[in-house]
Order: sequence, then structure tokens, then C-alpha cells
Amino acid sequence: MASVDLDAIRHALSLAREKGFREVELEIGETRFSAGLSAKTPPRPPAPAEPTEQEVPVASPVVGYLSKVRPSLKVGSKVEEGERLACVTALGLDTDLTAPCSGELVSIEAKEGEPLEYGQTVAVIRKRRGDA
Amino acid sequence: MFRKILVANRGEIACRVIRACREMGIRTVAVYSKADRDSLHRLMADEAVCVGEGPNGDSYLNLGNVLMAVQISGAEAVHPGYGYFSERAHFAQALQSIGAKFIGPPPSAIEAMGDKAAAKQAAKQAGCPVVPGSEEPIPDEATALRVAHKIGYPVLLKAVAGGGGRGIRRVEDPSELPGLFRMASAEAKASFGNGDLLVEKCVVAPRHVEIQILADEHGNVVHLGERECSVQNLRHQKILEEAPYAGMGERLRRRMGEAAVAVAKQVGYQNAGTVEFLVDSSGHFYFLEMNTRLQVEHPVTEAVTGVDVVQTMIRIAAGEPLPFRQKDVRIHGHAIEARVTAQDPERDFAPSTGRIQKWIQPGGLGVRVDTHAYAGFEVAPFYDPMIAKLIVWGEDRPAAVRRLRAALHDFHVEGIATNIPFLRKLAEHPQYEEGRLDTSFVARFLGEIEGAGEVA
Repeated sequence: MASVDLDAIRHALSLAREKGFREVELEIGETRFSAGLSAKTPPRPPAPAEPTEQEVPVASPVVGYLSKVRPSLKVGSKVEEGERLACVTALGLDTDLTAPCSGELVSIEAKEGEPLEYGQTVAVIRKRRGDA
Repeated sequence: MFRKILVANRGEIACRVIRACREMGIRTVAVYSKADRDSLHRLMADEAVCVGEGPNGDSYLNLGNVLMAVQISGAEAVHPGYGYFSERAHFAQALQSIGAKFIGPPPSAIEAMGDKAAAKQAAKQAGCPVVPGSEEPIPDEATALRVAHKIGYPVLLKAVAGGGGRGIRRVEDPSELPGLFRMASAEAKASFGNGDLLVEKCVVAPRHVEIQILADEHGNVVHLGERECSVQNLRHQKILEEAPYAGMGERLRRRMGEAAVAVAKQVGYQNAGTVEFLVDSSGHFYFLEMNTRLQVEHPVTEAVTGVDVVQTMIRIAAGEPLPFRQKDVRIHGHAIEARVTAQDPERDFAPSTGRIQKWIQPGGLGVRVDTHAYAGFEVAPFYDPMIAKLIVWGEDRPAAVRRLRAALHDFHVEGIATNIPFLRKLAEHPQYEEGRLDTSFVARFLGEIEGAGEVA
């Protein structure tokens, strides 16, 4: 799709939705475009602007219990990539739970002593601008 | 009885165990990998714990995560299914140490049967026939000739350290022996770092027949008759299994059943297990090995005996005595299981992965489908290609074969390739219909369809 007129496609799609069409086929010069539409599909939100901020979950690396949560941690705390935030205790062994990136804690999803499955989100960090 | 059981497995067998628990009023905990987020076992269980990424070593075989899933869920017992941790003695021991019950045999019995030489020795001590052969490694050709003469030709030369069929040579008569001995020994040395060989009688055109046993924790051991599993692919994986074995008379069943029970008692066995035998064309049987777990093909036994093997395993683990005696076990009708796999018969059975677009499974009287798949389910590349077991029951073998054919006709899967077209051809084969099977049937059958173009 070298030189496609995106505006033309958008216009055709919104027109098709408005009229309740199920399928759209568009030919612009050499380029063909086709799409299936579901009657109930809400109009797509506009593509987001280039992300300058990103939210990254702090996920448990093992199944275990959340432990040794750093007491100073709270929503709004600044953390550095690789910094230990807490531990996950499994079979008597502690595994460090570290910050996957630098930024600000925007939520804390688990409490001290809480059981965690693999990959469970313990906290969410909003990446610092420019760190992307 | 347990209030909560964790199922340390995936796929159809995890669903099978969850169903048994549900009927018994026991809560269930599934473990699942990230790739199995939409797998049926995760959706069926009352609770689910993610134990790792897709590859087995990261999740279903991640001992720490599975044990911790037991702990955080508060499960009192663990059913291992088959494969994975089912025959790992250290898993059963580890569960003991965290206070959970392993639904399977004691670790000592798993270990006793895990070593092939020790298992054969135990069978011999129990008075069960074993394949005649040398018990000690054979040092030279002269000794090999002497042993072969005693047990009779043909014989097999097997590497002591061998496995997977490597280092095995078949010897028809004494003149071949010295040359083949040297070759087998050199091959064994190169492959396993140990050139020692064993000499064993070669069982000609053998049938693979196995006896299901159940043993409670109060010394009662019964068998549920046999299954025949001679239809195997070139990698010795079973494809079609049935019960009973068509060539089995009441007398042979009783003798093999008693032998299997004796082997189980010899190693202090508890819970469900299977003793495998080779049976030759004149009805001689030889102990092969014991599988210390629930087997894939257990539903054919369930179909002809009416015994729910999985529920009985759970009752045994909870300390209950067996609810029946040997004399209460009756074999009624005939059952066949076909293993449906995501493998493409047109591409040398290469694994097929992707999203299942359409899933239409057969049903009706005497038809059971055990599966974790459904339309929309994504078959991931990490796991065993089996996606369903089709089990049919009929009043006799011809009725069961007819039902198998009809059921395979009605089984349609789209989006991935399956072996269903191959199973249909197998079930239609006159030799299969007649029950003239041995473990080389599929190899000859594949030879027949080779070049025949499509396998439709």
C-alpha cells in the first residue's frame, strides 16, 4: 500500500457504517482495499498520538506470597529500573520483585502476604517521559 | 474425602479429572500456562493458577510453581493425570512434605517400576513370566552364543544403557551372532558410552496387551481386565486401543490378571496402574513394564466395566477401601479408543498448530469424546498433539467397529490439520475389521497408502 489515500478509506468506511453495509471494497488506482464490517462495531477511536507515557505492570516472576514490600512504597513513589520493590516468597525462598523500568508508581494491586500467581500484576509503573 | 483437588496437568485429561471431581462434589484447581489461558481445563475448574509461560519446563513441569499453586490454593490432594509429574517419585515426595496427598502410587513403587531391570526382577519374583534372556551384561560373543542357544532364536541384542530402539539387533541364527554382536556393541558404546549388551528372546508378531489394576491402601488389589494396544505408529505411539482383547479367552485373562495383581503386590503398589505384556501368537505372555499412572486409554476399560477409574483413584487416595471385589468385575461389550491428533497425515504427520475454526464432534449412544478443544481454541506448538479421544462402545467388536466408523465420519475439524482422515482409513481397513493386528500393522498399512495420493 504505497500511496493510499487514508482519508478516502476512512470516508468510505464511515459512509458504509452509516448505511449499515456489511462489506466494503475499495479500488483506488492499483490499490485494492476490502473490509468486513460488523453491524454493531462501534466506530474505531482515532489512532493514539505517539506514546510519550506508558504504563508497565510489575508482574510476579513466580507463584508465591508477596512479602517484604518496601514500607515507603505508595502510589506516586518514584522508582528506578532494577530497584527491588518487594519479594515473592515460595517454598521458603525469596525472589526479588524489581521495577522493570524507571518511573512513578500509579497503582499497587496486591498486599503484603497475598498469594500471587505467575505473571500477576503487583503494581503498575508509569514510565518516565523520554525513557521509552 | 478431599474438599479441594489440584489437577497438575492440561488438555483433555485435566478436563476428565475436573469432571470426576465435580461429580464427587470436590472443588477443583487448575494450573495453566500463559499459552493455555483459553484452554477448557482452566475455564472448567473452580479456581485456576497461572504457573508460567507456554513451554512445559516453564509451567507444567515447573516444580516450584506447581507446588506453590498447591499451597496458595489450599488443595488437599493433587491428581497428576498422565505424563508431566505423574511418574516422578520426587514430585510425590515433595507433595508429602507440604502436606498434600499425591493421587497415585507411593514414591517407592514409582521408583521400583521406573528402573526396567529392577522391574523385570520384581516381576520374576512375583512369579510373572518375563521375556527370557540374560540378567547380567554379556561380556563377549561366546557367552552370547551360549545364552542364545539356551533361550532359542530369534534373539534380540539390546544395549544395557539403551532406549528408543537404538542399539537393538535381531539375530535369526548362530552364524549371524558374532558379527551383529560386534556391531551392536560398537553402536551402544558410541551412543550411550557403554558397550554392554543383553541377550533377550525375540517375541515374534507380538500383541501389546495390558492389564488395568486398582489397589487400595488396605491390601486389596483387583484387575479390570485387559486392553489391546497393538495399533501403534512408527514411533511406538498408540493410535487405536480396545478392550477386551479379541483373542483373549477367560482362562488367559484370569492368568494374566493374576500375574498383574501379583506384580502389583510385589512392589507394594497402591492406586491405579497398568501392567504391560507382550503376547505371542501361541498365547504365551511376558511382562514388559508397569506404568505407575493413569493411562490415556483408560476410558475403554471404563466403557466395558462401568468402573470410573479416575473417581476410584480419588477414593483410594482418600483412604477408602475398594468398593468392589474381583468377582464383581464384569466385562460387557467392546470398546475402542481413537486418538485424534493435530497432525497432518499428508505431511508425514507434522504437527499442525493454529486456531480451530470449526469443531463438530460425534455423539449418540455409545460415543464419548474427551477433549479440551472447541471452535475458537488455539492449538499451541508447545504441547502433545493429541486434541481429543474418541471412545466408542458396542455390544461386540463388529458393532464397536461400525460405531467407530460412523463416529469418525461425523468428526469434522477445520482450521488445523488432524489425523481424522487417517483414522477413517485405518478403521475401514479389512484387516482392522477382522482384528488381525500386531504391532507392525500400521507400518504395513502406511506402506499400502504410500503413493496412493490423497489420504481422504
